[in-house]
Amino acid sequence: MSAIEEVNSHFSTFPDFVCQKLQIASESFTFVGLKSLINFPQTMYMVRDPLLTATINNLMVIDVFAGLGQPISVQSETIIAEIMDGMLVAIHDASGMGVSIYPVPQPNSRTISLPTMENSIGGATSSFNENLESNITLLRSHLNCPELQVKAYNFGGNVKSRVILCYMEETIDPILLDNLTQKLESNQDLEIATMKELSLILDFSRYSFVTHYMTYELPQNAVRAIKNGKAVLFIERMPFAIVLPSIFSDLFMSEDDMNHPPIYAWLLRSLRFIGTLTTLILPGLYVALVSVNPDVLRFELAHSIARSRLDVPYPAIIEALLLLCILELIMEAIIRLPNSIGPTITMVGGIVLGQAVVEAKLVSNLLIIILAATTIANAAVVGFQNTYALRLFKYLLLFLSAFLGVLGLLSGLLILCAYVAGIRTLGVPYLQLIRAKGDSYE
Amino acid sequence: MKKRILVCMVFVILLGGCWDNKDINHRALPIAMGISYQQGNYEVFLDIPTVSDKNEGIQVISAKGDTISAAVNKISMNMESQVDLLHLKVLIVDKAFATLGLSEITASTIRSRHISPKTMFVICDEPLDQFFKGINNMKNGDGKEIYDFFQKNSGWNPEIAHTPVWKVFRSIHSYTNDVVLPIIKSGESTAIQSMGSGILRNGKMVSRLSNEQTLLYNVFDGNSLDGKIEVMGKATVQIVSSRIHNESKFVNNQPVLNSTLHLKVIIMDVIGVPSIEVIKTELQTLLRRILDQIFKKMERANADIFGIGQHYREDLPRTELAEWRTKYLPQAKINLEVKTTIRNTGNLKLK
Amino acid sequence: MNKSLQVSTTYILTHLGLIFFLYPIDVIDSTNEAHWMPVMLGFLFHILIIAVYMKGLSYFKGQNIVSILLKKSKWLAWIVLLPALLYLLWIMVLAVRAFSEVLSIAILSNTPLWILMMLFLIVPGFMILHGQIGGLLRLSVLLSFLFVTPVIFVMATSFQNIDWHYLFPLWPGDKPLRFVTHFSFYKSLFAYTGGFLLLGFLPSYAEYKPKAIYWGSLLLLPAYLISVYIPVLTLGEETARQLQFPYLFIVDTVEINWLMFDRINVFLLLGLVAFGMFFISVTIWQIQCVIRLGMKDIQPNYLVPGIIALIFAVCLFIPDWQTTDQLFQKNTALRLYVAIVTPVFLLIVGWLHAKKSTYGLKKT
Repeated sequence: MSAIEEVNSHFSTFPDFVCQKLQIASESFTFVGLKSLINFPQTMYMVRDPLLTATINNLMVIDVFAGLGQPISVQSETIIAEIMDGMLVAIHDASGMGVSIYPVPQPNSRTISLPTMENSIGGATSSFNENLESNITLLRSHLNCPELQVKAYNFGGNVKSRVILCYMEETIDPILLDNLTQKLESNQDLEIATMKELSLILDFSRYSFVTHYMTYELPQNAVRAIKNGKAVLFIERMPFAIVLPSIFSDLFMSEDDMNHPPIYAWLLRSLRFIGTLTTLILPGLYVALVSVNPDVLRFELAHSIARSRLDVPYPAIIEALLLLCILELIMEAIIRLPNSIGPTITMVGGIVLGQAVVEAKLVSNLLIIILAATTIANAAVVGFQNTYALRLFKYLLLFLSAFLGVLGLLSGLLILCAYVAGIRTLGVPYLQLIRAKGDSYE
Repeated sequence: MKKRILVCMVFVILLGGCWDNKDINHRALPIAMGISYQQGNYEVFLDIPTVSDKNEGIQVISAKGDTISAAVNKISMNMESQVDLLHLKVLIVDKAFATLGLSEITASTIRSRHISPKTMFVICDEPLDQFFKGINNMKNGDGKEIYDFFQKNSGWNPEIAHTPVWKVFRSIHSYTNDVVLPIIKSGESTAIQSMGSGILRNGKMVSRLSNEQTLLYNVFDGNSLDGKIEVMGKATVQIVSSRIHNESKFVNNQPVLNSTLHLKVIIMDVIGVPSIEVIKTELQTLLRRILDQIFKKMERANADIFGIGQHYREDLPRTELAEWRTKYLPQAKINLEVKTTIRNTGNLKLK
Repeated sequence: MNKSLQVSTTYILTHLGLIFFLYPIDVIDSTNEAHWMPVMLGFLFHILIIAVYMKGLSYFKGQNIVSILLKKSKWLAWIVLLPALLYLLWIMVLAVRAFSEVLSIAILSNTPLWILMMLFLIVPGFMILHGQIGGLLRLSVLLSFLFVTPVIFVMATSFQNIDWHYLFPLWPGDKPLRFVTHFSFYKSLFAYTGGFLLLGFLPSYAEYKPKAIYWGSLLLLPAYLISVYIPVLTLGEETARQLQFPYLFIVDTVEINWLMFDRINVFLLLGLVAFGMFFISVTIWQIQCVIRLGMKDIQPNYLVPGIIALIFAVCLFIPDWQTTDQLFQKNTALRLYVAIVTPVFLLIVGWLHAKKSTYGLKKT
């Protein structure tokens, strides 16, 4: 059985498989491909045109045919792989010569559009999408310089996916680059379709609480990262750039700040820092002051808190946990709901429930204020991945303060600081400002 | 890595359930404590503002005991919530106890971490049970009057002495520093009535100052605020700022302090038609007279309430300084000069 | 890579955690007047030993003290290292015990002491296990960013009630140097010798300029002076003497009307506790260094919990504050030995080493 027949039988049940004969002068060609990936009429037009011109001008049709694309060996596996990659495979029936042609593809992505997760106030608003090529295009148009290195890696055994690594030779930290390329090259047989699989390939700890990478939808953010010595990865069908490694300042600094006057940029960053501290400390502080160290409060405040908690039947920690749990549920529920229903949940959750819970004397009204402030402050940090860590860490501080009061709060904060100070991503310490510098030690 | 975090977590959780903490609404937070002492027995009164929706009044509880903490414990035992002295703001002793000596309760207050050293020390001019009945009976107010009365940003007036426990503690151990304590009693139309202040030497009340003298004491001690002074039959002025310049020296082995008090006042009321000059000179003689009265009292009581001895730290060796109150203070000569400036006369002109 | 900033913040923080608790009362006990003299003398002593120590270390670029000494002579090395190890363990016991006692007095009277002690061991243990020295150095920057502000704020407010007259007499009447004969003065030196050994243990990649350390210690000087002088200026020497922790008491007397908190000494205390925990973790790391490089290379995952368990057990055997104080006094001799012998020994070894290598150079 010839290769082409094998291919035919392999794809026999595929509704989108096309096997088309084309007769040019005396030569006959077979074209195979998937019409779901290839715009067939246009591609055929594109292919037929040079061949026809060749016959009219009495050139060797076979030579022109070979020049249409990449010559491939005519074996069924190769052909199938090429077809799955979205290529058009053409075979010259007489000589059995095969060529893989880059076709006019079927559109399979959004056009470049506004970001869905990030907001840009002062800068460009076109964002990365699912198409690898257009992502590179965007990156190149923002970072138009010859030093930009773009390396492609193919991952996966059965299921293929492409990963593209971009960095700048002179800014990137050599330790980071070494570690990264070594990890990428040694694990090429693994599949890569989710961020978890990427973390597995890059050997990140499964128990890490802090994210090791940042994802950006806006190309200017990725470009800033590259300029600051980080590496950017694009994975096929991931609509964002993955920036490695993430560092401490990513919580507070965004590229968008650069579009504001410096004073405001710094004020905004300090605001985010205060937000981070607030979201971490406030619930714990409430519990510590109410149940362990009320002496720290002023008398007036202590008295009014005592009054607001008058009929609350359980300790402060349970009170706080109860309400925090509801808040987390609201946050999670809003992601799931369509945009048209989201506001309803906010209203029911925020206003109706909050009011009722105070009226019913289940929690004190001060706690409602504190938790609302906490949730708002949580959203002030840059990058959605980072909010997860803050959401979790505040519980550590909450529990510790319930046991040891303000001292527990402090120990919690110390543990957090020590944790953050000890994390390394691909040889780069997490606790750094602006430049990602590697560390030869450990 | 994960093992380490796990172990830490387990420890932290184990640490947790070991003891219990009382929430703020299960603690009784007294703001004032009254202590009287009779024949080796302390009687303690606690003034606890009730925690309720409507903010109604206070609760006064008393108990007797061999020590203060024994009495407090007795109260705590009999109350539905735990008594927590952390927010105590005012410590009231009766006059008899003050004359007997406050060193011991000052020391125990300082020693205990529960009572803040910022707590105000106050002497009561009437028996404590009567006083607490008096402030409890008041229908107006939320029961925190006694706290507000001594708060610098609410009810405090320059006619009232302002002495926290730590200053009393300092005066007991210091060679050169004595304090005055405010004296109060329950009032007729207001909850509390100021009755001047008591001079405390080494923790014992030895003399008294009137309200007017206390104001001047406050001015001369450098913590003047907007006090008002009546110039006999002529005018009332308000002090807006004061500055004291001291020059200390030894003449014939006798401490001499040349003091200049610069006062800036504005005129509030005028009786008749006195000229500015008249008011000025009257004011100066008045001030000098009152301060001289205070100095006399000081000398008689051997109590250095102005910390005059502080100025002689350079001149006297420590052994001599230790005898400041008995040896030098009675001989001390204070030459006071008062310089007043009348800054303005209000909206009306004055000839 | 230059890590001057990290090393000097580490250096500052380790000392800052020690100054405000026991140091003021030791200085006040040592003399009746002119307290600046013992403070300055102690400070000069401190500058002197770190100068000698760093000079000694500078002969061996990028090596730590354990490997320097062991390379020279095993026996001589242990004359220095063994007391140092003992001293480090001892001071750690004292630090853990004293910190938990202070906290128990100041904010957590209901909490059992062993829980506080365990906290003071587990948190530093986590710091060291998670980050090792690189993490600690970075942590020092983060901690100073977070906690130095409240500490400085409290220090500034503690001037509220001072009376400058207590400053006098500036020059003591007779025998100005009498405090040198007083034992408390030597006890007070612990606040200067707590963290200096660290400089010798830093790994080669943590390069620093000696100038950074000198600047760091200069920044500490106001802290030393404030911790002693604020109680003296507020209460007078006679009264300050009566107190166990004079500085903490003074901070408790500060009144700030606009703050929602009544007791601002909690902020100071918490800041200092953070520095104290940092100090303990640095000490654990030094102990770990001596053991791993000098005796047996045990995995830190096992070694650190071992050290912690040992210290915890010893701490449990100290029944009261008086014993702690006695241990503290007994520690003084060892401390002086370590503080004087280690730098001097290192300087001599370094000098001989330098001489030998120049001699060797000439020969070839």
